[in-house]
Amino acid sequence: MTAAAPQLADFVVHLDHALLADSHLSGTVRITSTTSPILALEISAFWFAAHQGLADMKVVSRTALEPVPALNTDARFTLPFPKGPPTYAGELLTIDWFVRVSVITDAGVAAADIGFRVHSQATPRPAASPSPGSVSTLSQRPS
Amino acid sequence: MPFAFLDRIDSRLATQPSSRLAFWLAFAAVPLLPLGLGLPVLAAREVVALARDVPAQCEVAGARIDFTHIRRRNWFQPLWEVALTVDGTRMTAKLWGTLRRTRAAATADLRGHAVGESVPCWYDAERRSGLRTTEPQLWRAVMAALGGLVCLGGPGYVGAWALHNRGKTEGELLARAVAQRSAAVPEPLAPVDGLPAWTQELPLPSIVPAAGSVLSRRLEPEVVAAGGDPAWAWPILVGAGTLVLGMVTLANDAGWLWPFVAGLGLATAALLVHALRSGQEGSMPAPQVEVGRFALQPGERTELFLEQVGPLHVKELAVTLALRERVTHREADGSMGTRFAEVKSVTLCAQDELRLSRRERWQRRLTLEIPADAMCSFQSSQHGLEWAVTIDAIAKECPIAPIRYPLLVLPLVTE
Repeated sequence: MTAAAPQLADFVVHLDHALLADSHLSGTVRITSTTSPILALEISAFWFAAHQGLADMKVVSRTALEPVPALNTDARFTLPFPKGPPTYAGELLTIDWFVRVSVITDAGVAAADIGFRVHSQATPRPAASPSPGSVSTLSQRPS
Repeated sequence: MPFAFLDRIDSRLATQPSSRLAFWLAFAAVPLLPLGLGLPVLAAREVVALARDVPAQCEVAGARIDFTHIRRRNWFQPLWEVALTVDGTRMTAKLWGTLRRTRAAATADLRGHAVGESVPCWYDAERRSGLRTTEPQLWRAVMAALGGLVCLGGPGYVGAWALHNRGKTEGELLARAVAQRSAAVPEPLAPVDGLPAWTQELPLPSIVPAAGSVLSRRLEPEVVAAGGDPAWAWPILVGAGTLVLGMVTLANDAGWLWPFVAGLGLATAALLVHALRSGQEGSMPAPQVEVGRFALQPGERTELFLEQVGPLHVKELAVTLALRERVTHREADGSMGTRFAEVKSVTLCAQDELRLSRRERWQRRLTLEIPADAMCSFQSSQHGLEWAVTIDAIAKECPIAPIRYPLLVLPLVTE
């Protein structure tokens, strides 16, 4: 699963698994272009329980990639993951999971949220191979 | 421990919230009862004096120093005997001075009224009795009546308040009890190896901190926050008012007040009947529900024992295992509300036309199985996914509010 954020920096994110039942969340991020020097690259995982715009959110894991990877270089990341709560879509309530990649530059922050599913009963399956030409952004929240 | 018997009674009534509340209300009412009955009498006397007493000039017939023993020392007090003779009827009363620490100070005060001196007094001119040295005051009657009302109605107010807040306070107490018990007895949470850390934040269901009679865990019914029944506060309040008015009327021989007393009495009876009926129709005694385990994973089974005591008459009764969504939402006016949706329901047992007398019991031993594809319990600050054993019943044509016994469903660990 991949995502791109075309504002201050363009980057491609790839998660190893789109459906997670593992204790670690892993993938790669590749910054393809930037308009300002990059100060830091942060990756976090959070769940989002929402009903009609009233949402609870909890960041369960966060890491900073150091040193900041060079342009057009795949940088691997691994986040400890608590394996839940599982993704859920009910009548009133939804629980969604996202990985947020934040590229912090001199001029501001470019960020994108990539959704993935968590199911404690499922067998993890590999995500689709990254294809920078046709990246899919599930949710994008530039800051 | 001198009050251990109270603990025993309280723990016996732990599963019957109404009886438990009634017991503690009665217990609280005992010391207040003499005050609640005495103050209206005082109020009635004052009202009678206001209506009948006339002022007069009494003669001081005698004077002496009286003493009393308070807090291990003697206190001295001037005491005058005053007398009034009206048409050959002699009435006497006592006039007390201020309490003094020394006899000398009291003796000095005693010179305030000499024998033979005139002092103001009041008496019942019609009956030629009830001589008193203080002027009847309306505020004294009002204060005594209000005091009586508070003392008589106090347990009722406390009861209504306790019912209203029962969910909160009992929930807190039970949560503490469960936390203590869970710390001491790790079963049944411990056997689930490799449980994700986030499950530690899930709410534990309310369990009675004692083993059940058949299975190892007795579940506590969920208390609805607005479960207080204010219907009971009104008969108590109006009944106390009736009592006070009745005593005032009796003491004052005010026959014109009797219709009002009778009206209030009828209103009390009507309110009492209404409270009783609404209590019977809108609710049922919570059955005892026991389980082998209260924390389960999808696909797991446990035994469930259910016992319903009478008196009860319902057209239908169903025991279900249910998952509901609880969400907080914002109303159009900006206020916050809570909404529920039942998203999964498995009927464990259904019974038509259940009629139990006071001594009868209806028991069922069932197997509770969490569906293999079930979503686990979840809780965040605004929303939640809540599993429970639910008892639904229909009395006559009116559905009774469901009684829920929360359970904890843990995520399936695959490793």
